[in-house]
Amino acid sequence: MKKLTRFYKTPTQEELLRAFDWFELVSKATYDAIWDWDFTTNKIDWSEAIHSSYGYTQKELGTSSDWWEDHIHPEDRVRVVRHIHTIINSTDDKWEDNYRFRRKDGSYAYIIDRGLVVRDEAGKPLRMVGAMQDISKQKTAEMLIKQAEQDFRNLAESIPQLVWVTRADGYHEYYNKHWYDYTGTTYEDTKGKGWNKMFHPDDRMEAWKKWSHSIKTGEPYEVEYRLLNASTGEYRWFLGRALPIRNAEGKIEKWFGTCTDIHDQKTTFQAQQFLGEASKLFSSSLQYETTLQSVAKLAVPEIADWCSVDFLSKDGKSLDLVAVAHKDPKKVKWARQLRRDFPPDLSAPQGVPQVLRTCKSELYPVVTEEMIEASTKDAKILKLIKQIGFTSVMIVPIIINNKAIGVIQFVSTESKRHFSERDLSMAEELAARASLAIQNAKLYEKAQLMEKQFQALQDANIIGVMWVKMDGTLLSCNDALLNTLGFTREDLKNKSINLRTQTPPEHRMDLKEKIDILEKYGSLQPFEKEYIRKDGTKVPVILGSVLMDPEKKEVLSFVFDITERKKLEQRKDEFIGIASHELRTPLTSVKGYVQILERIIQQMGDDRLNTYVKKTNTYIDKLNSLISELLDVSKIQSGKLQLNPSNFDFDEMIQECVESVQYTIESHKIISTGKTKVTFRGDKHRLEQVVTNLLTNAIKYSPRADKIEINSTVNDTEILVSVSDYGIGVAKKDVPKLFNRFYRADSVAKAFSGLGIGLFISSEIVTRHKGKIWVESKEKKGSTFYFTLPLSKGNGKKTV
Amino acid sequence: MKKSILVCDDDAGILDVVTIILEEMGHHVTAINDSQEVLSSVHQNPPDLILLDLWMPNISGEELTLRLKEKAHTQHIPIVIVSASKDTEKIALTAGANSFITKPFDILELEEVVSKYLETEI
Repeated sequence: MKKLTRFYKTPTQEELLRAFDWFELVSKATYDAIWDWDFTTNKIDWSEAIHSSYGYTQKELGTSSDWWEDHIHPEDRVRVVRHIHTIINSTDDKWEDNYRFRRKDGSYAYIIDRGLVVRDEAGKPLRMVGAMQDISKQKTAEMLIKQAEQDFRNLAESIPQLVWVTRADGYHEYYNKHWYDYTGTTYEDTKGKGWNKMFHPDDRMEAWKKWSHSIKTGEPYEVEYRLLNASTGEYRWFLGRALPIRNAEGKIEKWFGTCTDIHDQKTTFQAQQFLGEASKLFSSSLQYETTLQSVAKLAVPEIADWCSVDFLSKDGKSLDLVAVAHKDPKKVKWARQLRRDFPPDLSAPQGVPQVLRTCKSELYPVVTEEMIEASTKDAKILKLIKQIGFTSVMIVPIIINNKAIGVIQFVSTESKRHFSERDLSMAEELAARASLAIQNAKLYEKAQLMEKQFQALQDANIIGVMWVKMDGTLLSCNDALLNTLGFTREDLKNKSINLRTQTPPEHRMDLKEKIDILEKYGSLQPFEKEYIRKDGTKVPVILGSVLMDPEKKEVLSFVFDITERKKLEQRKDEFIGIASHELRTPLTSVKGYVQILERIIQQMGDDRLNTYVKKTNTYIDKLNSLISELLDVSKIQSGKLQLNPSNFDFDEMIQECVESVQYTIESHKIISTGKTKVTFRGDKHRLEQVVTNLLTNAIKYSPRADKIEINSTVNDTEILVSVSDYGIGVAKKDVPKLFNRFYRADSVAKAFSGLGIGLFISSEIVTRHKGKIWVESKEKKGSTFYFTLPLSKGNGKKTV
Repeated sequence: MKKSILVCDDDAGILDVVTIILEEMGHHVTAINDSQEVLSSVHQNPPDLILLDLWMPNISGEELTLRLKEKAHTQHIPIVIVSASKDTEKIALTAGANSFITKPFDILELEEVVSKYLETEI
């Protein structure tokens, strides 16, 4: 250019010629269209490139400047023409401009046009020489970039994330609309480092640290933080991510970042984590009140700002604050004080009392001013509630056996968090787990107490306690049991004790029966039996059992040594034996004297005295039979009731009984029917006792009737005797107990005297004869007592 | 015909009643309260019938029966044992007693047994 300038400044003919050649060469060598505009003629000469670059032939070329102007893009034309004329008319030499120039094919090329004005000595412009450079290729690339940027912005605005772009040094220069909408900020607020202020104070440090690290190292940026939502005042969890964008040389040009709302995932995860932790706490301890305190602490501040647990008091009239948590211990203290000063009103129509009543959770996603106003009439409390600044509340019941025993409350205050249905589900789940834990703890407490009680019972060694296998193997036992059986712990260890072999042979049949009952019903009522001690002696016991493990056939039994009781019983029996003997001795004298008197009176012929002495005799007999009954019971109890069998005419025996009873009775007629024609072998005296007992009972318990009936029949195998009355009958519930010792039906006890042992003795006598005795009765209609006596096995034979 | 009967019971009342009844029947009664005196009495004056209580202090009716029945000169004398317990009948009969009466007894029952062994009419 310097040379060219010089050339224009001092042109000589020779120089001009040389220059012309040089010009020709250059214009051929370049793609730029070189032009020469002569102002005096307004004629422009174009170099060859105007043809090759833009498609115009020499003929099509206009020679005036008008042609050039015509081919400038209309949008650029005015600007470009004005600019060049300004240069020409000024003292400047150099002109440069960008514009679009129309090619022959109609398309526009992007042009950089540069020119130099040549002036005379006076500065008057003579001509202008320049070159049009086609920069279409560069221009397209630039436009593509611009387009891409536009596309990126469009995209950035349309995706749901908050999007941002920073410079390589971390200076935030772009945010999408979502960012501004969410944070409620303007570009000025958050450009540069302003973004950090929007973060939760607890998360700012961490985010800043990570961001600085990424800027320094170029490593991708990823961090979780809470971002303040301008419209709700709530902090929501976001995942912030950024990647560096590098140029061709690999140098970072920009950072492209996003903030994705992960609040729901995060809180769900947190909730799951919280529930998991809570479960761990619940299962780690059975002190559920302490556990609930820990769980409440666990809930703050991630789940809620406040968490409290209340239990309904035992009388159901007040609430006990079991646990309360807030991250600030001072506030916890304050809350406890508040509770003491203002105990909650359980009749309130909503909130905790309502949850307790209905067992249904309550969720207040947004606590409004009106709700607070409506919650209490007490101005003091209202002031306090407002002071706390409730944002959101959930109350869930702790339910046990369909009854709410307490509530868990979650309260959001300073975090401005709003609880959702999802949070409520979590809270309900927590309450369910708490309920389970409480039930477990209570069960455990109960089990422990029972275990303690049982252990105390075992250790007291008042009663023998043992674990036995159904086959009789003794698994474990207490000392009392060993003492009863005369074994040692050594014997137990050696597994040499089997309770089946320690059972006397005469009890084994009975034992088999009992085991069947145990297997069928799971438990065995206490019964008397004997065991053979280690030394071979027998020990009487009461044994009761429970089937603890039907699979393993393991039984828990208690064994009560009744040796002492048996001794006492024996002494009692002896006493009754002696007593009855001693009673009978004077009775014998009395009876003898009375009979002597009776004879004398008969001889005297005094009817009145005769009646009295006869009656006296009857009562002596009654007294005697009472003594006999007592003695019999005692014998039955001690197993000493002996039968003295003989052969006798059964029908005759019945007849004798009927006659002897009828002899003393005038109120009823005894109607006897049926004949067996059997010579029976048995204890005649005892069987008489049975028949007499049934007849006298029938008379006694049918005071308004005038007859009783006795019938005897026989078949091939047994004799059947029935005694029927038309009396008061027996209530159904009394029937099974009727044959028990000393049992008298309630209805009977008051109206009739007697020991209530007649049927017990009769039953024993019949049973000892291998017969059966039973009753069929209707209340207020009468009863029929039956007994059978088998004929087989030498008990009796039929006389043909 | 007047017969002699020895009666032994440790209870004075019964002894008295039995004596009255038997004397009323027209027999001679030797009433002994102390069972130890029975054997010597029988040796000195052998009776036609002996009535013994079963349970007595010193020597029981059972033992007396056994002793009297083992000796040739007394074993022919019929012995009736009187007891307050029906269950002792077997003991009495096993010991050798000829008959058994339970206390309290009926006068008729006693008279029947006595007559049976003394072959007299009531």
